[in-house]
Amino acid sequence: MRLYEALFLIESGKAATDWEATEGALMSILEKHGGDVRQKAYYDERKLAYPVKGSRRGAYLLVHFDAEPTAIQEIHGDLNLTDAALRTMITVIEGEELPELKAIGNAEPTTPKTREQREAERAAVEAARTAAAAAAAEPEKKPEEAPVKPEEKPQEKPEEKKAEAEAAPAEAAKADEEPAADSEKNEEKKA
Amino acid sequence: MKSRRFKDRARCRFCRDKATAIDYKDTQSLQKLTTGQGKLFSRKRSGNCAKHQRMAKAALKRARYIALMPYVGGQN
Repeated sequence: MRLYEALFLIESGKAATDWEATEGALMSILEKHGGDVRQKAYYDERKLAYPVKGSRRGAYLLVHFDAEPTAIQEIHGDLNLTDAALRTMITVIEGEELPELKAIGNAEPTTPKTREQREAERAAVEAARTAAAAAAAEPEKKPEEAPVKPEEKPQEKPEEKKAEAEAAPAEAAKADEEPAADSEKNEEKKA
Repeated sequence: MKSRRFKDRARCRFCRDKATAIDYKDTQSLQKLTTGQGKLFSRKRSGNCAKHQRMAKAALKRARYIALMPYVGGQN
């Protein structure tokens, strides 16, 4: 057994959407040929030095593993048959010691986001977007409804409070956008 | 006669660090060894010893293959 280092170049789209399957495919190839994975590191998506198969951006996966020297050629053969990684670099590490994980360029080694984290992020972005949209719609309604309100107040109060409570964070989020929108309108008027 | 201090300081930057290998993933140090066009500096320019120049050559070629360094032209 020898210690090897594999650096996989992974298409940015795959790294963002289908990370588990991609990593699983690569790991299963290593393990199929008797590879014993000792450490893994993920390097976030970055701009490549040149486009590879049309991809201008890519993420890197660094794996240190033990394997028989004869297995390396077979691993290369299997990697060529999958499209999990755009390119692979397998090099020998001299000695038994695991090398420490260093940054590649500006990218520090990290653990990739799990599917739950990605979904949570996506949900947060969507929530912010809908909240901003709701906040944008509300100020227009208020002036029209205001004169009618005083008579109906006792009945509507609970609902209004809820609506306000929901709108409050949304308005806070919108506060950043409003000045920009106003300035744009002003510019349009000037023009 | 040259001063002893000058003699002690190795001209090769990797000899100074007593490097046994040059990592192809270390793009920052590889960038210092290449021109703006991505070509490896000569030994005369970089000051590398023969052994470390060979290591640098191999490291640069690996870095180019895995798209960490350009084959030609700078990083746009």
